[in-house]
Amino acid sequence: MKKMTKVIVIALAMALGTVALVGCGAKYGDDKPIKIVTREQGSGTKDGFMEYATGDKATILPKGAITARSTAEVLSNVKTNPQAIGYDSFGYITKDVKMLTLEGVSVQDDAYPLARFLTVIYKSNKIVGNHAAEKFLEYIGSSDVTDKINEGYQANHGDLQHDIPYQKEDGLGGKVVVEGSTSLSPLMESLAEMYKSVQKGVEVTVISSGSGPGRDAIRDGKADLGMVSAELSQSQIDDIAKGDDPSVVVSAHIAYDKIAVIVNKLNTHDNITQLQLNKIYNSNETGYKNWAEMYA
Amino acid sequence: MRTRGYIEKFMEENKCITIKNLNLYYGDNHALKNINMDIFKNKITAFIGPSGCGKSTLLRCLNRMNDLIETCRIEGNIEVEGFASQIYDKSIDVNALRKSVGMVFQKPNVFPMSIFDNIAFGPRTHGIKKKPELQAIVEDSLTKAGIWNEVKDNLKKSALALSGGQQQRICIARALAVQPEILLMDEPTSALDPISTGIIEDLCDQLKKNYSIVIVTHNMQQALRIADRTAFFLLGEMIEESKTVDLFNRPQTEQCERYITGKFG
Amino acid sequence: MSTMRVGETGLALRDTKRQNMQKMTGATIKWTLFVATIFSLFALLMIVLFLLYRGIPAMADIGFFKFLFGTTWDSPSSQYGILPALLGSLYVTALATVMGVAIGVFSAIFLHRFCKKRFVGPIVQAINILAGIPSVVFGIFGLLVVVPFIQNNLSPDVEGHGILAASIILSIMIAPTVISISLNALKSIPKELFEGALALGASIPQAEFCVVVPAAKGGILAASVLSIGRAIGETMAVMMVIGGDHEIPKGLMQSINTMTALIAGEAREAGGLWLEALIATGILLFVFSLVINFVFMRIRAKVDYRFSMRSKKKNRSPMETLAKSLSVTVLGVGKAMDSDHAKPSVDLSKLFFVDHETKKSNRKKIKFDVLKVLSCVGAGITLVFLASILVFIAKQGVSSLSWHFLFGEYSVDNPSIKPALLGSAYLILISLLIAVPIGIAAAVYMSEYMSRRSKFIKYLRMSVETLASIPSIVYGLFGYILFGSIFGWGYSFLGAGITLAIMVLPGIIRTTEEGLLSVHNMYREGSFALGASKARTTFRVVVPQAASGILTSVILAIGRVVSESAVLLLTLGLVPGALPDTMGPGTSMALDIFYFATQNKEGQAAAAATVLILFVVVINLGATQLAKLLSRKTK
Repeated sequence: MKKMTKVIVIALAMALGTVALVGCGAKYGDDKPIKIVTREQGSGTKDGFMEYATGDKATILPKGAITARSTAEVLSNVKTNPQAIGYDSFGYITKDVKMLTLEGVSVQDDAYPLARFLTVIYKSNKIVGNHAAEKFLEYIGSSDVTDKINEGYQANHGDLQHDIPYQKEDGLGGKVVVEGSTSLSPLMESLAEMYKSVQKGVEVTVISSGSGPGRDAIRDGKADLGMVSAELSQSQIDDIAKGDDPSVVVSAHIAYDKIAVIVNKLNTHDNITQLQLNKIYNSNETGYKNWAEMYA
Repeated sequence: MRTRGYIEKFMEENKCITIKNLNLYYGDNHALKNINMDIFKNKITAFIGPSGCGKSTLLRCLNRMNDLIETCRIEGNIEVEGFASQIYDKSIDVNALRKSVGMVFQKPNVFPMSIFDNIAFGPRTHGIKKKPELQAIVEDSLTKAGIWNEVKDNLKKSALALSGGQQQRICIARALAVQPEILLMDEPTSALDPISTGIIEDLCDQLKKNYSIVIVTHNMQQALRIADRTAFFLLGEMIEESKTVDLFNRPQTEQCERYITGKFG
Repeated sequence: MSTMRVGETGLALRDTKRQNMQKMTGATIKWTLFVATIFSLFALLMIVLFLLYRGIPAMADIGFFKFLFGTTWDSPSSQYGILPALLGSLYVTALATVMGVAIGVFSAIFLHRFCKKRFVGPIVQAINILAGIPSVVFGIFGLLVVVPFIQNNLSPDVEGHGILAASIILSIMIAPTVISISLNALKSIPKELFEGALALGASIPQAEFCVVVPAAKGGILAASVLSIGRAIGETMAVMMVIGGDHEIPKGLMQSINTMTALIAGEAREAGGLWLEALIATGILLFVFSLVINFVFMRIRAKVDYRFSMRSKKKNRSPMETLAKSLSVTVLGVGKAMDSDHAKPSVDLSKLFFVDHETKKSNRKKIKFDVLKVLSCVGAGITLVFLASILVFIAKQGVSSLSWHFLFGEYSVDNPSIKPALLGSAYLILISLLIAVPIGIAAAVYMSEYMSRRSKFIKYLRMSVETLASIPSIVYGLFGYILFGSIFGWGYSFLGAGITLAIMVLPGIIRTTEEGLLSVHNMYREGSFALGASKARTTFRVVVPQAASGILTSVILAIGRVVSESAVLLLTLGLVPGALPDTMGPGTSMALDIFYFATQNKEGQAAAAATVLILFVVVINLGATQLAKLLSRKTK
């Protein structure tokens, strides 16, 4: 009996151990359900996506949706779940996931229909009090950063110019606090680092908390610049202004960011339409039983 | 008579403690009933009696160790030589009392420090800080306790490294270091082997020349061996007290006689 | 008359001036200690008042019943029904407790009876390591291993998140505590009981399961109740695997939410009524933990708290010390459970196999052999999970470990944990600077100065215990609102440090008090008999002897601070590149792990986790060694 016990225990140990290390193979099944991944309330990326997919950014999602709390978490979820579908800022997509074409248009194409501006917001009457912040703002709108932005986003689109080089100011010091959208943070962090090597005395802190908190931070004066990944609505502008004239709230487009629709690498499909997106992301619609049905 | 800076309390020659109408209660339990007795100077007085009769309790009254027990309540008077009021009076500084009335416990309780620090603890408490003074006191106390020669080369060693009998003598030295007049001993040899017991009994005999000793003992033979006077206690009352030879040879009460002859333990 | 005076120095005690000075110092000391003790009461009061002040109006605004029983939680439409998260918490707690207690108890039985003696020590050390692993590491293990496993192999819906994932992770987190406490309980059963059963012809498994284990049932019950408290309050690990959907749980593998995950996930973005709804959720959590704690304390109140504190001090690891102070209650509960009998009763009918047919008796015995196998399996599961976690972390992390990762400058593309290392160090500094003096002072007061019978000490103890049972996320909320919002500091090291200080304070008080109480009374008496004052006796004789206990409590506190993540999420923010700044945001080791894990940088997460686990293991080992060293000095 003792020997048997030992054998059982060891076998169990090895089995569990192997499983943990290797991980049982993930398999994609067309006959298995669709797992939708979305972003949290307040995310600018979510607003942008839902607006396109369902026509209304406040549409309630169907049950069973996985809520990712950041750009990166969306990637994690889609990467590990073969049945998943999600959306994410194009500048952030890694090789771990597969991008679908949208209405036949690939993301790299200019005609890609799902995009929004990544915007920096600030209050004009507050920013004059922080010269370092003003200079930083000048920097991220200058031609010095065009190449960096183009690495993942589009620096020049529509009203973005980025054509004037940055004027360095010797002996500049101070603190700049930037807070907001997680979609924009990585880019902003890179820009902040680049800025540090240009203006050594300035300390730029980037807090990645979400478009919502970014707006609140500007409203309450906790940050100098806010990052949002969707256009501000009038009611949001009024809220941020908080007593001042709404015109003090300024939005500056920094980059143009496409939102890619992503699926797991094992997924066999390549294209998706707005209609299909609406059906799966809208609780008012019936949805599909599985991937096969969506493409039937 | 020693000058103390307080008003001298005149006591009858030869007495160092007078206990008057002492009653002690632990909560509702009347543990000591109407004790009246005197302790004499430079003599060894033994408290004997069966378990639970109150002898240790009475001993601990004499240096107010019972203050540590919350439910304890005292009525009556204890006068100690050199203290103007009875010792339970509010004006008495209990730490001063305990300096005058030292105690040695049943189980040797040397502090986990070096031998030197153990002995020096008391003097340091009472304000002696200078090294040469402390060294003199330590040597003096260890000599009086009869253990100086055994430890003089190892004063820095931990006191816990000594044997039980040696530790008890360290405790005695420690008590002597604060220069008490009276030494209370609560069954000091019951945890020791016969040889150590003998050593300590001889020590008591030497010490009584300069100190008054009250010893609680379970061992009647010990009382016979070393005590000048003996008091017999039973159920919280002091039944009889007299010269040891008289108590044992001619007990005045039946209870005492029955205890001595072993009819109950 | 004695002429033997040593020189001319009299011991000048009768000097009234000196007497008065001594009295004054004594009183000052006593009052200082008293104030420190009051502090914990004060902190508790603040937290409670605060939560109520912000949360009750919210509940009223939303509607009390709508809040408790509403099923929609949607901030844009201002609907805040907590029922789905409430049920989620309850289900996860229930399943996790059942699984964790089962694994833990069986493992403890294995270690107590069936394990080869020479393996017991190492296995116990291994379990201590498991106990020291921070919750965020369990979180990433869950996220990257357990969830995909369930998703790909167990779930018909291809959903890995949910109650099952959370319960599996939680049960492994609970198991070490259960093992420690149960093992202590089993060890305290006198071996005569076991031998008596054997002498009657019982087999070893039979004797163990029929006699010893039931005798220890009080301790096992206590361990279970403690686990419930831990399970309901756990935040980070649960948050990373639970899914986050506000749905009524209808299955084990369904994305749902728990109250803790809800608060942690939304607090940073919430404001106005939304935030107050979260505070109201915090109140619910607090109430739950209060109830559990209350049940626990009622049972314990029947027994003298001090009883097992006076037992011999051995060289214990910090984990054992923690278990010991917790197991005071174990033995207490055990005693309470068996208060009706003088000794744990032996149920003879279970032993009787007087049937002369050997087949029948053998059949009965086989039942216990199966149980024995189960206990081996239990221990096996615990160890396998430990191994899996460690191997997984090492495998994922080893490629990301580099000199730059540890000590280089942080940049987004090339991260480093230097800010986190410094951040953790700074947090330890701030929180311990506050908590250690107050904690030790309070413990000294409670153990040496306070009258044992006063009502006040009962209330004090209760408030310390209550503080200890508050879930960490509630502390986080409190810190977020008090320091971040009301004081206007935003995310700051100072705010985070103070919050952490209050959090570790009860632990320091408890462990230090245990150390103090274990100093035998004879030392106090010896000192008093020499005329030493209370202060002198306490600080020169008692406290030095309790040094190892005090040190242990500090080490445990350091471990707690370094592993804590939920509180920091709400009080420190999460800026992985920021170096420590007293009034600014930043990061810590545990936070960095969370950040990397949720930012798709699993390698870095695992690497940081490796560093953190190593650190915790080292300080635990160091603490045991130091404790040994110190007690050697006093023995």
